[in-house]
Amino acid sequence: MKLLRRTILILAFPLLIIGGTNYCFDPDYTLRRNYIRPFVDALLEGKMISGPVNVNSRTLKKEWISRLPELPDVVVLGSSRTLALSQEAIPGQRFFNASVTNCTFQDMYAFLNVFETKWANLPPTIIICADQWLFGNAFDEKQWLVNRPDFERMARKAGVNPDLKIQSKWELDKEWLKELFSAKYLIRSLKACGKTEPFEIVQSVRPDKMMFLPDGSRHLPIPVTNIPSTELSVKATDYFYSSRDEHFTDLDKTQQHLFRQLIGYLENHGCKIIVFIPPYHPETYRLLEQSPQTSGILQVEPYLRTFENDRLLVIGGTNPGPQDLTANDFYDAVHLKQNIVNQIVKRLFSEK
Amino acid sequence: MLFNSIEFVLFFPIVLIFYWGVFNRKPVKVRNIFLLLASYLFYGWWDYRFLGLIALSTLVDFYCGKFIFQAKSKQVRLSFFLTSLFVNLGVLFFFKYYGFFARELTALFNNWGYQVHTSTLNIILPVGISFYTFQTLSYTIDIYRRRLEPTTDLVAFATFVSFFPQLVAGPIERAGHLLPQFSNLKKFDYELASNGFRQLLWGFFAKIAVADSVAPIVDAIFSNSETATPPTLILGAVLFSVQIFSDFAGYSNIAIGTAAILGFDLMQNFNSPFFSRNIREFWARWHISLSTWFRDYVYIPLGGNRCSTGRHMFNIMTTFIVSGVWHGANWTFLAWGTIHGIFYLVTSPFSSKNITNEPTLKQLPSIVLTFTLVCGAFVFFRADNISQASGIFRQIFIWGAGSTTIFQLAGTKNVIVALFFCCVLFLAEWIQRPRKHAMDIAHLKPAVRHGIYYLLIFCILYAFQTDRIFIYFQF
Repeated sequence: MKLLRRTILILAFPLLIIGGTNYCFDPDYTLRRNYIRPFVDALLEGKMISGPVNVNSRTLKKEWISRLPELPDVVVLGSSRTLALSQEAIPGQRFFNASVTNCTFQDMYAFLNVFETKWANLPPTIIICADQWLFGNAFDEKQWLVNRPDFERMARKAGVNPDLKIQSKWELDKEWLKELFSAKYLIRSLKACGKTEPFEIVQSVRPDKMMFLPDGSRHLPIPVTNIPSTELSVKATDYFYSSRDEHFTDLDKTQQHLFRQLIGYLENHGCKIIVFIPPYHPETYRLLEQSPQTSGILQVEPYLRTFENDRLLVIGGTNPGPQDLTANDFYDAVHLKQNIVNQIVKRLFSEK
Repeated sequence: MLFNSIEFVLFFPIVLIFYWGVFNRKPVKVRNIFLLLASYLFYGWWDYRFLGLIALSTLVDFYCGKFIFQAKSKQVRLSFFLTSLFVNLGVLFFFKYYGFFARELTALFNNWGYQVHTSTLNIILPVGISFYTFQTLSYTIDIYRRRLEPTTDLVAFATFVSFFPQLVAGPIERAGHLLPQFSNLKKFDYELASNGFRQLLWGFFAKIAVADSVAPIVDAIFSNSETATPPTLILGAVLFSVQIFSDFAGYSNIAIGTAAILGFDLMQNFNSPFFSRNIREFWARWHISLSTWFRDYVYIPLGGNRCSTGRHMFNIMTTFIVSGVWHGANWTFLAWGTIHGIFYLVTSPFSSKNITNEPTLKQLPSIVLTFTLVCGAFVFFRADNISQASGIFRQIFIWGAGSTTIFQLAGTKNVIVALFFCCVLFLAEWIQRPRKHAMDIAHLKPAVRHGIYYLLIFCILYAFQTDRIFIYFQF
């Protein structure tokens, strides 16, 4: 009993303090999800949300899609690299950006299932952001598990190999527990105590704020996107050294299978597909091109080009050079500025 | 199941409650069945299919041990002994070395102009196979050498083979030490259990705070070794040495601590090896359970030091090479073992044989020299292949080549945090070097002790992010 008491004192006491503080302050809005419904209400009314926008975007987007009043004409499925793509790029059509940060193919399946469940139909045009790391085996994102049942349903419909090993939702719950008891998060919680930027429902875009817009796109604060070129160059180089996502030499068979089945399903349902290959910053691309460890990245584009047909268009490319993109068109190693992404897609739709 | 996983955080208290609350009050056999099931659950959580291998190893060695002991003739004894050797080493060879040999032989024949096609199966290496195989092998070897009597209790033996605290990465226990501990019920010993908790805490700190903070930095340096600056590469070698020590010694401390809480005594596996004053001493302090295994079952049977100088040198080299290859099917491990063998032979004449006293600050030059040699050898251990390792040494000695710094590769903040944890580890290991583990602080005032506990818990929770696998699981 003595040992039990002491153990509880030693272990449970700090866990309680850390977990309690993190849950109460939750500066990045990762532990609580009660704000999602009021957000969706506001966004559906055409209002905007300003403040820190974080990881629960999958839950938000799912709820949002399931409550959209009409089936959009054009939907974007992608990562933060297409999150900036807005209605401005596709005027005159009902548009929704279903991108989420660190999007996986499983996320795309899940969102498509939500669309199909609600309207018994799929959006006529779908823009898929084919991040190069999605085709390797080094990218490990578990957040999609929040929508695991939707993925499973869609995967069955799309004929994904039933033997495919799918992680259990417990894997995601563990991440939540780790965040709850994380001392790093505690430090952020304490730093942010009382100063946490609250979400705000507003009527117009605030240039200096991170914002969710009613078309599903994200607006980034100007200081984030307008950075000096020297700093940008450092960011581009640092990304190459710090990111492990690009470390693969061959395309992963499971990922290829997931992509193939997704495309096949969309084609069979008469969707027009636009596969957007997002480019890298010129400096990052140069380093990726030289490194034998990241040779898989260069195989993605030729692989995707093999899918081109009347109903599937491949745009963009890994190398920014042929697209006349310069370092100034990026705000970091992998993200194009909003006006550039919009231009690329707008050009395509106006040509059409 | 990993020790540094949430599953284990849930698993262990449940086992503990049932163990002390229910099963340790039942007959020994029932208690052992409970421990056996818990151990199989622990192992099967990773891949239940490989439980069959543990069961096979258990049954073969249990019956071979029994028949060796009962056999009247030498030949029968030998045949059962060889059966045990063939089964255990055969399984080990198939899972660990078959792919390597098939690949290398194919390349060799192709080089000679013979077109050979072999299908190297994509074989998954069962976690901990080298550890439990060696543990069970020692049982039959000891019986064969008439140093041990076989047990008649199959459940106790199966629990000895698969005891979850040390199943996947040791310490490699001897039957003579651990097996008798399964023959009686335990009496809860408060001091033993609380010391076990402290050792467990220290093990988690070493693994999660130190090893897992250092690991991404080491990965970044080794995967960009062609462009890294010489100081970065040197730091990479040092940090890898710290990583592998804190990873493996951390695992051992968790294992020993966990077993202690259950009332079992496991052997010490590390004894501040980085404060060794020569290579001989390093091997008396590093992975003790394996080095003593090789001493008893390879080096001494080869003749040990009771032979000519040439033969003695051969015995030492053979032992080190076998020890290197035990770690994995790669030329880098063979090179690592060979280098240590050479270091051992070259430095032996200058090395003091008296290693019973503790190192002092005055001996810092010899400690630093030994540490440098060890770090250099670890470059081979970590490198993907021999050419990468030799490339790293070329880069280091051609001072000025490469331009990428450790801060670029890993981020300044990450490097500072990792170095801070490394300093805490080294400081504690140095201060506590006369003791069995760095958290052996029962003699301190409760307030100081609790302060240390909270600090460690904070560091662990700070660094705890992912279930990063233990390096030694792959061996």
